Order: sequence, then C-alpha cells, then structure tokens
Amino acid sequence: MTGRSSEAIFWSLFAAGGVLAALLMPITILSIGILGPLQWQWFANATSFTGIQDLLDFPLVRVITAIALTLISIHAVHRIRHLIVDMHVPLPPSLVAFIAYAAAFGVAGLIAVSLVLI
Amino acid sequence: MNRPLDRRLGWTWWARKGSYMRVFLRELSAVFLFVEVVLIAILFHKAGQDATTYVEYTNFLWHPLMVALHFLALAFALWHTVTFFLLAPSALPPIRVVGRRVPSFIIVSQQFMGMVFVSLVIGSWIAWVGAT
Repeated sequence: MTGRSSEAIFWSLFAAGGVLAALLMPITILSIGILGPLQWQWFANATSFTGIQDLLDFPLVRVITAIALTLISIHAVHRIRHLIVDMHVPLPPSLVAFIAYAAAFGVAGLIAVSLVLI
Repeated sequence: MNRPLDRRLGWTWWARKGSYMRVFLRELSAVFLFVEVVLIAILFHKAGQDATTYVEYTNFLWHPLMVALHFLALAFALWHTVTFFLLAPSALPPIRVVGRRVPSFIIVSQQFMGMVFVSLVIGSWIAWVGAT
C-alpha cells in the first residue's frame, strides 16, 4: 500500500471501541452473564424476557447500546486480526483482515437489526 | 498497531517473558470481548422475538459451563480495562492544566474512577429496572 493507508480510520474506531470496552464490558458481563443466572433477584428480573424489554424500552438506550457494541466489536476484531498474524497462523494477513472486519460487519448488522431497526 | 514481526521468536513468543505474556493476554482479551459481544447481540436479537425463543437461548447462555466462561471473560475484560487505562498516558498527547503537565498517575486514576462510576450507574439502573 502506498501513500495514505486506511489504517488511520480503523485505528480511530479501534481506540473508541477500546475506551467503550474498558468502561462498559465488565459491568455488562457481570450483570447479564453472571448476576442474572446466579439469581440475584433484581438482575435475574432485569434479564428475564420482560425485564430485557423494559431495559430496551428507551430508543436512546437501544441506539447507544448498538453504537457501543458495534465499536467494541470493531476494536476486538482489530486486535484479533493482529493476534492471528502474531501467532504465525499461515494465512495471508490481508485475508485475515478481510475475514475479521467482515465478522465485525456481520455483528454490527445483527445489532442494528435487533436494536435499531425494530 | 503494526508491530514489526520477529519471525525468529516463533509462535511461542508469548511464553518467553512476563512482559510478552502480559501483552499476549491483553490481545487475547479481545477474543473474549468479541465472544461476549456476539452472545449479547444474539440475546438482544432473541429479545425481539417471542418468550419461548428467548428462554431457550438463556438456558444455553446461563448453562453453568457458560457462566464459567462469563467469569473468565469478566477477568479478561477487567484485564483489558487495566491495560487500556495504563497505556492512555503514553497514547494521549500531553494534557496540560494551567501550563503544568498532568502527571500520568492522575490520568490513570481518573479513568478508573470514571469506570467505577459508569459501572455503578449502569448496574444501579439495571437493578432498578429489575426491582420495579
């Protein structure tokens, strides 16, 4: 690649996703993945079918959640892409990058369909 | 992010030094973050369908083995938070207040305070929705 690279665009999305992941992922995993199933009353209620409807009742919450999850997935695939190359997986780096960003695009699509376009 | 790749180290480079291992675990945290984002995206997708589909999915998501995965993912997510915040003073341009450079320990501790605050707000909000 000569001259300007698209790396800068991906890097700024990567940095934004990194901040959001650092701020939001621990409490999200704790609430949805741990406290809910361990039957902490309020968290179990909030993650039940009706509870999750109440959580997502506000359009602003859905939009912010969708943007945050999308940026976090871009952050994650950017790192995974470099990790795969650093682990000497015998695939062309450009192919790895393509698959990684395609995966993030797929996740972003699922999130958009689930949270914003309903 | 394009680190020069030293092929002589082989793929087990991460086992050579503690500092390599810490970087490796930081990069590996992205795998767990991605898995959790995908699982949560599917959860929201199921939430838009009927209750039976949702419960079928949560039976899988909250299987004891999956909860063990969530604990592991939580540890990696916290590791991501710690490493990301510790890097910020060197990644950001120098921040100056009244002409004096803000020491890096203040930048780092402010970020952790911010993270704790955001977590308390989100956790309380979820608990409040569950309680009402």
